[in-house]
Amino acid sequence: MSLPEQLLAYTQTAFVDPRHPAYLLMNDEGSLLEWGGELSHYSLSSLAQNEPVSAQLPFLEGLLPAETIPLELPSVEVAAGVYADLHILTGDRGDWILPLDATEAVHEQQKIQQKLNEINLRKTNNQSGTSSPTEIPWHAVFPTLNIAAMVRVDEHEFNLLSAPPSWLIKLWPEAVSLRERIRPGDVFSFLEYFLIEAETFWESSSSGQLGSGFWTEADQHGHEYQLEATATAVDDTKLLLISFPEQVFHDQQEILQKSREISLTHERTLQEIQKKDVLLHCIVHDLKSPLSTMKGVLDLLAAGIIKPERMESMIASGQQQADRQLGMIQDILTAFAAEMGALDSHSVRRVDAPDVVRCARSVADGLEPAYSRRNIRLVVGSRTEDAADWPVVGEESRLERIFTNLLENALRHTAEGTAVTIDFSRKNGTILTTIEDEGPGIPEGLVDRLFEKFSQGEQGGSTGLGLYFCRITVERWGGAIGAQNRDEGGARFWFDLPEPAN
Amino acid sequence: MIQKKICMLGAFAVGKTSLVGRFVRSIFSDKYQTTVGVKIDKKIVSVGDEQVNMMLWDLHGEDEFQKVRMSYLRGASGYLLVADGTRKDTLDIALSLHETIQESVGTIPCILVVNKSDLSDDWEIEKSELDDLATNHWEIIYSSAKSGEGVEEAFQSLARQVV
Repeated sequence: MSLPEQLLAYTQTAFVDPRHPAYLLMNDEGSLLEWGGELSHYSLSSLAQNEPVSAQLPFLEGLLPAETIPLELPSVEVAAGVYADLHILTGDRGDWILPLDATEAVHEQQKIQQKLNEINLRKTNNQSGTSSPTEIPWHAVFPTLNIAAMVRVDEHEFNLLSAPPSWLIKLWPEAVSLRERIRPGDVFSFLEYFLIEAETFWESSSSGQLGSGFWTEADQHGHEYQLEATATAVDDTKLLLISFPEQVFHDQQEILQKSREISLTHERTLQEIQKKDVLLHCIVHDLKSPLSTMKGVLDLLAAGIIKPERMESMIASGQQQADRQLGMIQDILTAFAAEMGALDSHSVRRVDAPDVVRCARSVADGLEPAYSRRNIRLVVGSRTEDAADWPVVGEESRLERIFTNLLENALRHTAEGTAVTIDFSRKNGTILTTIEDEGPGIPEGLVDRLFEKFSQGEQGGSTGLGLYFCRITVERWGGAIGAQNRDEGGARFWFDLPEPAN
Repeated sequence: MIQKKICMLGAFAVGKTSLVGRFVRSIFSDKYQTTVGVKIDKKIVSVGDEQVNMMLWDLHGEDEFQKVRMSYLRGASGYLLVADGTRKDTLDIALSLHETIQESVGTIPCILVVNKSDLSDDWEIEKSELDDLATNHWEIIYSSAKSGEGVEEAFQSLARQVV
């Protein structure tokens, strides 16, 4: 990227000139060819052309020839008390050496190190009464801890105390070259706001620390880094430390994730329990209704006040309610038995397989009186060949239970004077059974949960377990079950089951 | 271009991160991954003739383990309060957060987003309760980060309010 001349000139004036730029050019043999710039700032005044560079610039001794170029050597003491960042790069005529003054940054670093050493010394003295502190190279410690350490030089402006950690370079590549008067708040939106808080902290407190909590940044490849900033102060020096505690973050996230998943499961379990309580109440209520009728019939019989001509209908009524209650209890028992895995035995062999048409007819015959009482026609297999076999994977008594549940359900919901039709068809090794009624259809919103446990229609009067039993049984036999409303009115229930192998 | 800071607030697992993901990147994942701390995303939206750079601060969910730091709301122009329609207590948490924000930050534009509208079978928050809030000048938007329903509408509506 090339900058417009005006910006280049500004960059030169604002950032390069204050750092006393100078240059030296050496050939491949390491002899000095050319030099210029503010060399006097670095006390380099008596240089000789074509003489070895290493002999004239003692601070380069042992560093030349450089193994990799370009090379940056930060904070090299080039003269007494004068430090420079040395940049060595290749040109057409040889290698350039570019010193840029870093004295101020080094002094800042030394001041902090001095303070930290003093604190360390005080601590050591307090603990053991001994002296002679260990010299700790703080500029090397921070990178080891993967921390970007910065010292505040002005509001929102910082100098990097040490080489930037690799994660910082990935997020902010310019951090490598811009070591002084950097503005991290301009790069990381989160810090822009945290530093406002930090400024208040630095103004009001000379001890302790202010943490930012985690925030996430992404590099140009979308890789995310969870960072944490800390504002602290050592005497008058205000420090901003940014860390990338990857493991701490992942540990914390894992704990939170698990605790919240447990919390969500707990909430859902409570909801289920509440729902079950309500449904159990409904079931008990539904079981109580037929019992009340039966008790009423028995009380009347015991009192001997029933007229002979009404005796038969009274007993029939009591029997009907007893059958109803028995059906409900049977639903509950079979559903729970199915859940407990007690219904595992079923045939997958053709020779033992139940015949789905025969089962349907058998159940329909048993229910015929109930259908007749309500003037509802029950038509079984009007389009089905009687002579053909219709074997399915399953077990006969449970298949009959499925038909009983579906046909009782149809009876409950269809209107008098209409018909319920059962039909069968084969396709790709499965037999599809359909049961169509001419009732009001399935209420909207109920279709999807019709086969769920305790699912009840608005009318109630059932345990909500009959269709649930049908689903888990059919699915266990490798089939599927469903229901939908018919375009011409009424509901269509269906299930398919595989034909057993020969 | 105008830049506006918008915060996402609410109980944990209500779908704040999913809403931002749907709005900024048009993606959704069913897998729940808890947010720790803050994540900032940006999206430029048009409000009339203006281009607005929305800085979306996705804050971690509020619960007994993590309390939202009010300092995160410094400089915010508005916020989306997110509740999960299938968990009643998340509405209470959202409203409680709203009170805390008003006390510490003051009154700034906000919208109540009732998320997970795709799970209507499991809905727990009473419509009457939301109707009451609506009559008390709350702007309420039903959303689904999964289907995308109401997501654009929520952010766009807040953008209009903060410009």
